[in-house]
Amino acid sequence: MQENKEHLIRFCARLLELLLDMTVTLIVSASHSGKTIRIIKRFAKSYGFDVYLMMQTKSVILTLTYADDHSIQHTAIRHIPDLALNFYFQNMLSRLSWYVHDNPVELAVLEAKYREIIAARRYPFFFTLIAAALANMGFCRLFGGDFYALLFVFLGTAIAFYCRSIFHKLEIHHLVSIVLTAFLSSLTAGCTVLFSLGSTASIALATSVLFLIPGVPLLNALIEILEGHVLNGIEKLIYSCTVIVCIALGLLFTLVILGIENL
Amino acid sequence: MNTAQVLLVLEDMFFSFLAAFGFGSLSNPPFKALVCAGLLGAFGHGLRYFLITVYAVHIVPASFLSAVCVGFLAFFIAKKMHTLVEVFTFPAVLPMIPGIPAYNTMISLVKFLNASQDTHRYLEQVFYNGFLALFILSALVLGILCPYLLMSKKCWVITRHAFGISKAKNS
Repeated sequence: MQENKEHLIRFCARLLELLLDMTVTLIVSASHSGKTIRIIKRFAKSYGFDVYLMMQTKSVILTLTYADDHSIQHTAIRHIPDLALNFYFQNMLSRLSWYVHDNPVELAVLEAKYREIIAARRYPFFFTLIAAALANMGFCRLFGGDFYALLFVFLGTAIAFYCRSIFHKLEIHHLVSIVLTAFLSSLTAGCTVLFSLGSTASIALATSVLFLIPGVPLLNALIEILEGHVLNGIEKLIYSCTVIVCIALGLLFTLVILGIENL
Repeated sequence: MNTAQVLLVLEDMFFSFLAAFGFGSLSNPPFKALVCAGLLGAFGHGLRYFLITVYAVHIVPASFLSAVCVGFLAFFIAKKMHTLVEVFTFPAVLPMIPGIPAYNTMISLVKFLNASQDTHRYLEQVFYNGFLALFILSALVLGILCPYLLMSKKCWVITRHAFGISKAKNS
């Protein structure tokens, strides 16, 4: 009996480590709070444990309790690194949680599967660069830009996207890097004003920075507020607004250089 | 609806496909889902353009209607592919995000601070564009959240019985 309990305590500690890793992965890949809690609870329930989760912007606290014996419990806290959107992780972890829920597997198997999922590569950098540049170009066209506007928005986005990866490597503060990226992108698009090419310069300027807008955190924020995780939602909302203000600041530098009266 | 309008809608759909596909690729979804999200984005923006140009619907209700359609279509595709609904809806509404009104708000604000006369004209622009952006954004979010709010239980189990998880060896 005593041996069994000690075994359970060790198991609890091991499961807690894994679940905390999963929680951090989910939050970093921009899953909203409700979904994170549902997935983690499903994992814990498959092994007969209850889970209590508290999430903040930069840290997460998780308590794991054995459902039949509440004296077996562990709590741990972990820090959350910066956001790196990844729908693949969210989707696969959600699938894995249902898989474990329907087919009981050993913890070692679950750990191996989790490692397999997080080892997956992202899309190649140049693929996302071209895709983002094309996307911004498409955006420009949707708002009615002409040929020159399209061309310079494409170039500006590609250059700014590349520079952002360099800023990331140099470990520049990410808000500063957003200001710089927005500035570079809009300055390139502003060449249409400098050389007076085409007649839709203001559309080129406006759309050149749109790829920086934090769309996913913004949508997540509103979902969380609607689901009742108001505090987490407000955190994300404020973060998104800060990023938007930084984008506007970068754009403003360009406007000062080009002269606002020209637009 | 004549041929010229059909062509305009098709052109609009092509560029919104590019936008949804490109912005979707930043969040690293599975490739098949990314293509579907791009097509949904094209459908959503095309529908909004159609409603605005042909039936002269105001942009806010048009955005809401297209977002609702995108939300429900995404739910059915997600069910087929056992993939989370957000993977489709988030990239699909990105082309409809009100970038130009948001930009105009800022420009008018700067002009308002700079101007020495006629200041009320710029202030009016600030409020008009700001509220337009806010309402379009809320309409989009509420629209894609419709499947969640109406059938949340069904949305939660969408990834159940999925492929892609290799069979475990229970030793």
